[in-house]
Amino acid sequence: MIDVKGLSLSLGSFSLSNIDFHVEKGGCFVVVGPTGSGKTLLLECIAGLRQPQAGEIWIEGRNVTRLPPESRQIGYVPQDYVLFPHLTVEENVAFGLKGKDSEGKRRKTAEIMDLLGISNLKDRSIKTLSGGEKQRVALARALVIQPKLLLLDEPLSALDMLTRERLRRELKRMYKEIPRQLEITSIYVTHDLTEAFVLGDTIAVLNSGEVKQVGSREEILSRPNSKFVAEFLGLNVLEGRVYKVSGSIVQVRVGEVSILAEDQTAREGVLVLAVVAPQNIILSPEEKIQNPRWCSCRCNILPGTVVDIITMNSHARITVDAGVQLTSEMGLGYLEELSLQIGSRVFVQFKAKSVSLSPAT
Amino acid sequence: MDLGREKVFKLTTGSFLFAFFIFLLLIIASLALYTDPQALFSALFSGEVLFSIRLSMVTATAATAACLTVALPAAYTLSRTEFFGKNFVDVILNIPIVTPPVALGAALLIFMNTPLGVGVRDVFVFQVAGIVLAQFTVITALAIRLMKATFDNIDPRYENVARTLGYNKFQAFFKVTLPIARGGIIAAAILAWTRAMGEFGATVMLAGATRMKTETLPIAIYLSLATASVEKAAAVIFILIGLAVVTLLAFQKISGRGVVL
Repeated sequence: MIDVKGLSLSLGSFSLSNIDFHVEKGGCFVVVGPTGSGKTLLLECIAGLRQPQAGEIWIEGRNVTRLPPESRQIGYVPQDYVLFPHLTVEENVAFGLKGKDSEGKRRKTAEIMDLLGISNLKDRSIKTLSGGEKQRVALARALVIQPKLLLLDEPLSALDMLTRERLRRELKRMYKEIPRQLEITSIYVTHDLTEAFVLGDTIAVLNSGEVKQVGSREEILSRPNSKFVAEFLGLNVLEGRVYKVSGSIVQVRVGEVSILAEDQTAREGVLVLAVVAPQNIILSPEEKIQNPRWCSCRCNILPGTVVDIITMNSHARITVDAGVQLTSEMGLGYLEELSLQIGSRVFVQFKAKSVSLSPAT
Repeated sequence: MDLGREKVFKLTTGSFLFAFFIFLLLIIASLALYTDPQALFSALFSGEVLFSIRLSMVTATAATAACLTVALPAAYTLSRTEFFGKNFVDVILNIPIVTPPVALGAALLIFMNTPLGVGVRDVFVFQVAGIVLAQFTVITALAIRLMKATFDNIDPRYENVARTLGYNKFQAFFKVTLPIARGGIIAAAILAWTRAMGEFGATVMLAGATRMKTETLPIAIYLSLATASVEKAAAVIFILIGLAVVTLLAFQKISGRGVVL
């Protein structure tokens, strides 16, 4: 297992501050955050390529904070792979096996190349490989030393969109199942939420060098603990004050608008963040509740005007000004059915149960 | 820009290139007027010219070996390390590139007469070792510049990855960075060696121009012209031009580009 305790490092105007987390043996810990949040710097500290100014790094009960990288037994797959251009695929994979006798070296290299399906590439020059092939070679090179910890720095970011989409299907096998099969703990950093949710047993959201939240996918999605985390996850975040609590139903005043939420712990007068996922918001041309299953629930129904429509491959994000700005996500078919345009009048509907409240900090 | 004007533009710029190319060819061809194959052949194999070739090769090779020993770590440090006063060090290192070699040679000679240099004066002044020192002083800055450019183009993360794979800093340098830099280092060595072969100004100031003692190829040209022995001078010039052509072709082949200093 891995423990990072109070890790801090200042580098010019940027600093990693008091990073704390714990990863169980064989687990996949994902650090997700926007570009420039310090993800690579954090990995470099753990790998021993940078010396933290404070804090400790423990790997399987051993304090490795002051050890040089070569003594840590950590596999590292950097962004864009950094394969050695003067070596063949096989030589790259075998590079870390310097102490082994040549027969053992050959066998170990062949095993790992086989596991990753790159045995057919062994004599190829690095320069002739596709992005996907390079990714496998980089992973094989890191795994061959049987590391205690595997660090993966945005392994999909160097690929074109098409390859990335194709490889997402193999993501789980390559970066979660294979390391787990080899009993290797891994830390994977990315800015991509899909990758984070597919891979992470535990996810940490990093911003400006600080861990904002650590938890499972469900915990983070259902209870983001800050405005930043909620916005980074693409959720609607409304800052307001609780003005009425009756049982579990809470009324929150956000500007001129009143929102219903379900919460057992809210107290009147407290400032809160009300968070709603765009997938939980329905747009309707009429005030009547659109989803029949919602009729028995407490619902928010707010009239508003469409102010923005962003169309993506399979879905669209529609932002409505309903006194507060709320974004809904829907399939392209439904968007066409509603014939929405900027300026269209609609009713925004979402269940009180789908609003999660957390203290505004 | 329409097609007609584009053509005129290309012709105008191209004509300057062509004119200079012809100018150089004429200079080389003019050497043939002062010699014929037989005279060239006998001058080439005269004891004095053979001595000059041998001396130039030995001193240039020794100076290049010393230069590489210093330039390789120095260029690596300049490329990979940030330290206080780096810009100042960079300026000082460029001095031998932008200062006339004769001035460098004179400075070396003056240095040998200071309390700091007087202990080694007899080893270098008007001696063969002085040729090596003069050549070393002129070519090392150039080699550092070329090798630094090579290291600048090599991602430091190669060494980082090697270190996570169990290699210490030295092993990572020798196993990864050095093999990747090989082409650039060889190209820098070739250019430094050629420059040393043609070095005149600093050499003549420090080692003097003594026939059959400190007579490198450039000094042989100087001495031949001083005694109006034009055939001999032409033969040596042909040797130096031939060496330059071979070197530039080798450089192009290794580095995949022309010489850019």
